[in-house]
Amino acid sequence: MESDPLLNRCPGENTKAGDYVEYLDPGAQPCAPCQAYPPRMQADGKPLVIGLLSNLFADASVFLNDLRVPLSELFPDVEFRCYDKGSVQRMSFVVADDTRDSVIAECDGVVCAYGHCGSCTSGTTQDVLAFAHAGFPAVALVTEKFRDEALFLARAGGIPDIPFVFLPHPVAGKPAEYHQALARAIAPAIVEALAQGRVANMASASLAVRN
Amino acid sequence: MRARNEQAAAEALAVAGKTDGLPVVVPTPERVEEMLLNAGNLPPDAVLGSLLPLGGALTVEKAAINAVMAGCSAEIFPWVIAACEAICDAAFDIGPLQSTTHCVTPLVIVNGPSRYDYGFTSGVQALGPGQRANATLGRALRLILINVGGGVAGIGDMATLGSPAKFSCCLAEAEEENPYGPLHETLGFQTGDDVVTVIGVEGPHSLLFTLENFPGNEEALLRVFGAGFANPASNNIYFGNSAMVAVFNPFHMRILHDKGLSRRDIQERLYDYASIRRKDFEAIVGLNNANMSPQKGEILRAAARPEDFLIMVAGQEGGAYSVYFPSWGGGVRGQHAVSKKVRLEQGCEVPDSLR
Repeated sequence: MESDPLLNRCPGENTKAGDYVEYLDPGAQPCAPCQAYPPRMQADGKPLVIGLLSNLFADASVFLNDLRVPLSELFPDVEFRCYDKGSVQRMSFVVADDTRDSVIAECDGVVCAYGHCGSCTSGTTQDVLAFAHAGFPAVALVTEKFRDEALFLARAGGIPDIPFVFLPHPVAGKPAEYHQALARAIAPAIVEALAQGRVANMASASLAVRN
Repeated sequence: MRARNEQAAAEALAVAGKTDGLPVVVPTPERVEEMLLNAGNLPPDAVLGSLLPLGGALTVEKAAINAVMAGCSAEIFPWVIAACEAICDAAFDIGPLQSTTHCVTPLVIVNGPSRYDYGFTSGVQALGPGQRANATLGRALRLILINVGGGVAGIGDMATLGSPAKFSCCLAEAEEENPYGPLHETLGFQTGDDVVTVIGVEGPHSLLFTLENFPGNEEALLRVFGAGFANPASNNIYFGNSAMVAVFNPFHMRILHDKGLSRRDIQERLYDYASIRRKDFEAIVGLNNANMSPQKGEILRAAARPEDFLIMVAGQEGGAYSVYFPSWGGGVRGQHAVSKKVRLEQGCEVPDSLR
């Protein structure tokens, strides 16, 4: 076989100016253009209604329920409404249109829980993206194991700065006392996410519980 | 993009996370151009679809670049395009497949009268090393899922362990050994069509069954298959909502045919045998994922319908092994086959085997 002196040159060898191989990029860019995350939950002195949207992953509904007490302490006169995605088969998909519309019509903000596996992190992130695209305040709860995936999906979905509150992994299967302590620890971050559209220190609350 | 030489270009692609970890053929403009000659009347910027989770647009050119990297011969590019169209079909639900912690991956099944002319194989080691067309078509799809779909390990692909099948999982059917007609015919295509079928599956599981003839061996063979599909270690018995693939070797298929079973008979028996009594299931699994199963009643089934068992033939004559592919079961619809016709008549190159 005839050798090509250019192609067979080892790395580090000197190359003459103009000696190079051109090649094409196999990758693609996200189709969704980037936009800012604008929604903020407005108190306006009236009682707030917060939606609790469960994807039905193990203990997700239980954990959302545990958020009621600490959130009530931070939001006086708050009411809660519970929703779910219908079945475990739907946890990896975006929330159904009718459920999304009900949440928007009946609530002032929504907590989506939780990203605890690969596909359900995708589904939970898509839920918050769907609410954000509708201009509705939402926050995603995702365990730390799936942080990189969640942030990647937010960028791919066109709104990189949707708010996340990251939880220690795992949450499912932990005792009730642990759930309650974790709920209390992250409640301020949820309030911050819904009211200000961001979470300044996404790791601090969960670390406090883990330690 | 530019690099000092091919080795540096290949290294740059690997460092950028744009490979499957194995060495790739550098996609130079000349090689991609040659691949595109086999795209028929599809222009390079034609969009075949988009792939989640990244949501990148899969153009014909991006498919060609990744096919070059996978080592595809240019002549099989029409088959790559058909496979791309299949995974982009909304019915395939690629987003959850990419993101899940499960090891699910697209199985590519090649059917049609032209398949052998293009080098696809259905016999010995059809799923193993040494079969270039099979290996590179499956690999091209994986590179496309990484590069266009964002299925990068730990970011867009969260599989707990992954699977060797995620590098490539492709075989042709031994249609001539299937007395019931080829798989694609049962999926609505003509026998003379060339077709690529994809379905999200676990890797192949081996099935051992004797070569000896004994009374009732046809039922025993199907019970063994059924027990495999209903294995509590796999997802199907939990969700019961997806299609699965039974790949009979030619000898095992003849056992069933010689005993007078029809394809529908086989599917109905698999539906019956791929089941377990709830109390027996719970005695094995305890509370494992008990809250995940939407199934009701005293009998749990791996499938919702007999037709969810896809029946095909492949493998070496004379072995005692067949193969079955469980699936994942996640997603709203579960996993089902999506098939696309290959547009060979629009290709520009005659395969080497026909020259």
